[in-house]
Amino acid sequence: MIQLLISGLAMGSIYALVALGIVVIANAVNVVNFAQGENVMLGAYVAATLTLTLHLPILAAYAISIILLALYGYIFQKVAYYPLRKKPFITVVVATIGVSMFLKNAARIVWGPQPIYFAGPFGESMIRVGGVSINAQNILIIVVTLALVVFQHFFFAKTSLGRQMQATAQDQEAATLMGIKVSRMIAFTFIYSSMLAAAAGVLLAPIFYVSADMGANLGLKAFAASIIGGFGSVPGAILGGLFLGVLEIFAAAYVSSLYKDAFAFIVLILILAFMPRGLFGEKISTKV
Amino acid sequence: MNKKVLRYLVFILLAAVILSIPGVMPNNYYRGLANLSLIYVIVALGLNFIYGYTGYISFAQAAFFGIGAYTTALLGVDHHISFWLALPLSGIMASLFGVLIGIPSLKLTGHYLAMATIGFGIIVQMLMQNWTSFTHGATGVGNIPGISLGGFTISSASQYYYFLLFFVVLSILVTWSIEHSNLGRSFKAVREDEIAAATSGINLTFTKVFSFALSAFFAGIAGGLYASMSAYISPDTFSFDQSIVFFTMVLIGGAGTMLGPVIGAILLTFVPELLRFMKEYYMALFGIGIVLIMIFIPQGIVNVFAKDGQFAEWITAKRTARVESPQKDL
Amino acid sequence: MEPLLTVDAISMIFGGLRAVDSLSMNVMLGEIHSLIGPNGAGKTTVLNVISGFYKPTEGKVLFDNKLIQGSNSSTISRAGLARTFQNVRLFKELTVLENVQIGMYALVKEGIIGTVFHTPYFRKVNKASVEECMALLEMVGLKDKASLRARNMSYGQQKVLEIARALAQKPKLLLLDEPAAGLNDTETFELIKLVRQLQGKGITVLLIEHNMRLVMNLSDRITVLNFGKKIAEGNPDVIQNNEEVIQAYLGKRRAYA
Repeated sequence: MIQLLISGLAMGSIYALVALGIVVIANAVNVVNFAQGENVMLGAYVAATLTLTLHLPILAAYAISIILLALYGYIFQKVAYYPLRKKPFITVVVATIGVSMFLKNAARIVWGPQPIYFAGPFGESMIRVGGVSINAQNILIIVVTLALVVFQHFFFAKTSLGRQMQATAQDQEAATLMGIKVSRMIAFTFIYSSMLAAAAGVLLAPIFYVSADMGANLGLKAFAASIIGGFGSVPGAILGGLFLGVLEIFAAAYVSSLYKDAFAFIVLILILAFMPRGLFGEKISTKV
Repeated sequence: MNKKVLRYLVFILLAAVILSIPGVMPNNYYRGLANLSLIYVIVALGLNFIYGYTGYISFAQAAFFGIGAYTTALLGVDHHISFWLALPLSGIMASLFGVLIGIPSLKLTGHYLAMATIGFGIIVQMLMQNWTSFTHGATGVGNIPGISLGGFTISSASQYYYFLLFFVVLSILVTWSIEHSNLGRSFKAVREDEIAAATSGINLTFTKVFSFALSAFFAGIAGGLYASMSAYISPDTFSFDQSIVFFTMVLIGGAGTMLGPVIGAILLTFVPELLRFMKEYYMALFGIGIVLIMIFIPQGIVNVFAKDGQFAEWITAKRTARVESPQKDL
Repeated sequence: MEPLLTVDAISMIFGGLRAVDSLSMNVMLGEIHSLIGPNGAGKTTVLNVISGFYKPTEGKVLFDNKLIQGSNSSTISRAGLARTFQNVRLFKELTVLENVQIGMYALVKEGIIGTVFHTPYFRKVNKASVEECMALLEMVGLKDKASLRARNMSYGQQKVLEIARALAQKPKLLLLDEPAAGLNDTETFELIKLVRQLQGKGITVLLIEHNMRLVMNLSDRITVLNFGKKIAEGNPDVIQNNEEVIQAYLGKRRAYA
């Protein structure tokens, strides 16, 4: 039970991180980035290459991976978002799907079709707590996610950059009037989102094998998690992610492991059918 | 030259080109590709109802296509039911699922609807993969019976081409008819302004669900044709990625136009194949291509020739003139 | 005279704010009835309750002797109640003719077989409805614009097109929400002629309008609203000399100054 709960929370933390990355961008520019899962994959591959091929220390590899993904986030918004910023929502969404196709297949060319095993700092080691043995990596994932969530809270609430990004997300016009450089804030949002993805990637790598396809399902499920929580809400994304992770693990253990990946979407559709704005979303209002 | 004569000449030329395709194609591989593109035209025309005309996103079109394919395949293989009965059942089965997904989607728009349709598509594909006793599982369904008509069995790729062409022409005619009817206008009214549509007496629930069902029906029929033509189907064909490809077909060709999905479906079937010589690079390039198209021609190829909407205006003007005097159409 | 529309003690409360406060009024069959009042008096809210966008917090709405409060706007429209919008809601990418045809949606029964195959029956029905729509467009002076897109019309043309679309529903009652706003003098004059013409055809009109000259010129009866409450009702002469009405408008004017 405890083991299942911990691994569910760990997986849920990963979903939460990816969902956060989707939500911060959606709040800033009203676009769902379908390539967010591929960003996670990219982060994992970069860290794996640095460690396994270039033999860098693992923490250095993590740091470099996050920095490189930040750079990538900037390029991504410059190439795939900025030219489309005035286009309808669906145009941009399809463009991000194009980017995700590119990344997935480019990764297959660069790193080959074989999945790579990339151990974390603790390898396979288990921690024993009162008779239950728990995978150390799972604990690491939960702790780091928690730390990132706390960091994000303070970043947006207390720092000048965070507040400017927040203001941009709430009302671009008002932000412009207040002298905030809106396009720069949007760029920072994309950078931040990619860094979150990289963090999720390096944390996830020891649990999943690193492969070109690892991002596809992850991105969709994180998107589902953010919808379950109530799209656009930061606490909603976190709680939705954790909920989905725990649900999946328990459903796989007690109901059917074949349909493990389906539960997320069944729950999603049920929630949407009865609560069209998710568990924590705002009420719908029609303007006449 | 008289404009009317010119139009007839263009029409005859176009018909000649379309009819000579199987002869022009270098080998059966390309003939098969041409056949596949015809099937995709039907799928894209269907998707155009819900997205192009009614304005609702659906990323589940591959699932409806798959439901149609599995209906024909399983009825044929497990129950020995003739293609001619199985095909309409495929359309009906898909549209029932269209109603099923249409109803919860009524209150949803934008991100929410996109995700609900994605979720539905993924669940359907998982059932195909894992419900082995019913769907034959991940290995797919083989030995699907072919199509025979009054003692004549369709066997070669060229024969299939003309057979499918008949269905494509039928689909285009039906699309045209619906577009120029009360029903078609109610779809477009919902797309343009739901509140004004409701005050005009349009039942929003019925219209949205019907549009979903119609989209699914086209996909289901296409699926039935696909299963019979290929004789073998497997779950991985009916993926989320395939739904995206269908959606891109409509977008690239021009959503909400009749010609757009046709052009989009043909292009997106052939272009990736032409890139295949680049081996593993082609899917990556395909992804870049989608981004470039969204940046440079997001309104779709059909609308590229429009200068401030003049081209579209000219076309609508002509169509409206036809509606005004429908008896001239005979 | 019998009432076509009865609003019976409706209240509409938005988060503690009484936008409409137990309002009762009758719109008689065949009359032109105006609903006026200073900005924010709750006129559009009343219209939105009548046409089914809001379910009133309290009270009843009877149209043609049937209770309609709480029904959706599509059902209410089919019962014979059409409306226009303050900010013009047209189907902008569709043609002028198509906009009017959509107004006729609920009346034209083409049938699913007819729709798919364009049967002779379909063509007959379609032809008849197009002719009716063209007649409506002729009445509002847009016949020669039938095949152009609605978004390419001038503001004044869009406003009358919206009226034509509402008329295509063959309504018993037509709700006009500030039809003269943004129109120049000639267009306003044409509008007055049009509304009179509609009354001649037996259509009852409920009008919200700020242009007092138009209201006094057209109305058979006027209901005045202030802060969601009815403060006066009567024919134009009575209203023009009502102290409370003058106060409400003057007070408003002083507030602006």
